[in-house]
Amino acid sequence: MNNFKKLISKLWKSTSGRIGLILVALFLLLALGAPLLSPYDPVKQNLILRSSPPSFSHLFGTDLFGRDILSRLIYGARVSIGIGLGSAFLAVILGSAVGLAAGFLRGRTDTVLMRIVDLLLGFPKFFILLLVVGLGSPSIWLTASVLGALSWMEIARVVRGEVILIREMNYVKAATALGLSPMNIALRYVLPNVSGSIIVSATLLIGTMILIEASLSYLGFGVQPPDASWGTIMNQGRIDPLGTWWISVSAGLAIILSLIGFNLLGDSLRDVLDPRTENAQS
Amino acid sequence: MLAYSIRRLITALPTLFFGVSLTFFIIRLAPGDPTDRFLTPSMSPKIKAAITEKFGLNEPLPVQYMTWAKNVVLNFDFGKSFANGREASQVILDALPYTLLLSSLSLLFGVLLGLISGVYSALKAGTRTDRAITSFLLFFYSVPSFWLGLILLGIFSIELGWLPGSQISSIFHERLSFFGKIGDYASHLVLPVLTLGLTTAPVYGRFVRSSMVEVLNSDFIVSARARGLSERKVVFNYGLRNALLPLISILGTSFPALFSGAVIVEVIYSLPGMGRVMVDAALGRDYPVIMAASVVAFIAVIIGNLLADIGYAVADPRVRIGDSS
Amino acid sequence: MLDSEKLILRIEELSISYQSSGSGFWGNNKEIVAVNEVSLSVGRGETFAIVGESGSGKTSIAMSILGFVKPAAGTIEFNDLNLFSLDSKQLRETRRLIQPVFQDANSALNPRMTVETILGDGIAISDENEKREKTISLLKSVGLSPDFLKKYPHQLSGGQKQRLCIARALAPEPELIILDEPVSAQDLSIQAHILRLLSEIKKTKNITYLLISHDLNVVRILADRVAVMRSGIIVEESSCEKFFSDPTHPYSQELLENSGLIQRA
Repeated sequence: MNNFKKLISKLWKSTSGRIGLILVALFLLLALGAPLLSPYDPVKQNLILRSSPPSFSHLFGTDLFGRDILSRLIYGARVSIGIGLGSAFLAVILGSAVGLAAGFLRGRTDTVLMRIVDLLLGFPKFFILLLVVGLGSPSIWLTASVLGALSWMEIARVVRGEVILIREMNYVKAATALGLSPMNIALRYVLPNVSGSIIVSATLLIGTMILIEASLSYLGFGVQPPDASWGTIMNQGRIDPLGTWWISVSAGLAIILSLIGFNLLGDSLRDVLDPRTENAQS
Repeated sequence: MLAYSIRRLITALPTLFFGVSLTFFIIRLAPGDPTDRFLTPSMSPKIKAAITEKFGLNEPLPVQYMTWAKNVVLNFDFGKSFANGREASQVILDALPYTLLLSSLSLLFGVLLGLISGVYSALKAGTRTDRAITSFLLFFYSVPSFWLGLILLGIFSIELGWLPGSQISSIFHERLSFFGKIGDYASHLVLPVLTLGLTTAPVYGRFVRSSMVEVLNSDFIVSARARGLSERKVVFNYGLRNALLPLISILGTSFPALFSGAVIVEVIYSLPGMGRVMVDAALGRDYPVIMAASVVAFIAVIIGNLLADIGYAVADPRVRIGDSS
Repeated sequence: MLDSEKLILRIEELSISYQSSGSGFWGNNKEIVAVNEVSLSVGRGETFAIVGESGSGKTSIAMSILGFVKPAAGTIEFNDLNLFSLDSKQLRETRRLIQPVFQDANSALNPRMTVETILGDGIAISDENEKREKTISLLKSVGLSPDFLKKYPHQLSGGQKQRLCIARALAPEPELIILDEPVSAQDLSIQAHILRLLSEIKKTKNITYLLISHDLNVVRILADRVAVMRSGIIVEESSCEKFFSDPTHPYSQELLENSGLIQRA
């Protein structure tokens, strides 16, 4: 907890860290507090108010079915951010496990695992997503799982590279000399010292995942109604992008602002967690 | 180098084989049925069965796979599209040039824009100009291409009517002179290339800026300056050259992202490229076309990775080619 | 020479080589011989020093005793056990009896662990209270107060870190401690304190030191016997007194002259 506070205060020192923190916190808050924060029921149709521009009662206007855009976006945060977090989480677990095993054990395990990583990196990700997510009637869970399962390889590479460096550190040698088991050393000596890079990659990956999910949903392949992600909501504005500009603009801003948030946070985390700067302060 | 490239392509064959085979089974096992497109709920099961048989879908999956693989390998025959009966390979070959044109123009635009803004930003590091460029790059890094495409389409095509917003050519294209035809294509490509280029530029711009800043702070630049070389020479001969090397290596690996970006942009601007074909095929469960498209997509990624490796080896002679680690 | 019953470590015809990846487009792998058929014996309770310049191969020997570098040829026997013929469980048990103290204490301490965990990992006691008592007594034995238990390495000074490293090496009650340039990263005033601490530990516990150093001042304070290494081979081996008063090999004489410990003849 103490470490967490220190990290936040370090991030807060730079402008980009501050903006990133605020934006990410804002969107997490919206997603968590959706029922309390949204002014209307996001699925309730109001045919009298179809496609009405922003007004005092509907700040971001209404969509083709008269549903309140703001409420839909707030509930959409649950889907978009949820899929982003969920898929990044899965990718981090898979990528860290593979990267740690490959970098720590080296030898044949490393060769085999990295072959698999190279093989999967050779897959055209978006096309596979289009096929898997597009051919089924994807639930939020399925979308997040497929996204995560196709995105862990970069993290595995980053983690492996770091683990190879950490493995040569004297504290790992000292632990080996103490007769600790390889599993113990990998999990308690190596992994915690790679966590910085993992956190950075994960944060940046959340943004990428939100973007990919939005693209899929926009094309009509993603989450199916009644669930709606920001991409699904934008899809409604595509027929007359300027006539119903408030749909495209507000949904687009939600995506852009959340991505800016996660990207800024990731960049600032990289500056703060960089082992070089971290050692310098001790 | 040629020998290396050939060897790399041969070692990529398992990826191609494995990936394409996996795709075959994924699309067959996913829910949805190609016969849906011809059926209304009132149609009898008998007609459905007849259609299923016509497409060879009643055989066990492994048998279908073997038949498909045999036809592809021996005759380069991907089967006929369920949707319109054309050869699937022809459908893809017709669409591919548009995607290649869109991708390469956008890549050119994106790299140039990224390079110029990245280098300029690095030279002005820490100033207000640097912050402005960095913010600009971050904004477009975070903008979904479909959103940008939609906004540009709305403003420049629908509202202002300056540029066409759909298709690759106008209806009177055939009556135009040679240069008129080129101009016609160009006007149709402005918005798509702008959309794809603006969203890819930040990837390179951010990268170029950080490597350029690093190079400019390195010892040999400091000593070059100390030796009294002109700033111009320091920046271009020493700085830029060293900052450019890493860029080459990420160019190839950005192929897949460019490809998926092109898919979306093509759908928005109704261009007759691979994106349109892939989305339609996926929605209609047009198996032969999906499979032909997936072969092309895998090959594109493999070539991209190969170019990245070659670029890397050319850029940095210290990297030993063939070293797997 | 030494009584074979009293030997703790016997190295025979040890050779260690490294692959260096060559430069150039296709690269050529070159084999670099770091240690060339070296034999030496260390008696129980003595301090044996290997001196030499960097690149002489002295650290490679230390690393192969610790099991981090696989030799190309030769044997290492510890307590009459061939280290290369042990299964992994035996090896882990034997390893606890050979502990390293590294030159750079910064990289030798896990930055994510407290002092208590760092030391606790070396103590083979499961009872929490006993373990804590042992940890505190270890801290005291290297001159650190129990207040340090909850601290992280970066909250310690350079000298305190090296003391912590020594405490960790003592934790599994080893028979042999390999001191790899134990003080050369420290300030001069701290060097004296650490060296005094090492001598004291040696007196109270029956521990053997294998000292790896390029600093003849350190060797003179700690060592009983000295082996001089150059380019992978031992050029001279003698008792400490003889080495400092009457070195036979020209290279030893050169080393002593350069360190200012004897006058040029």
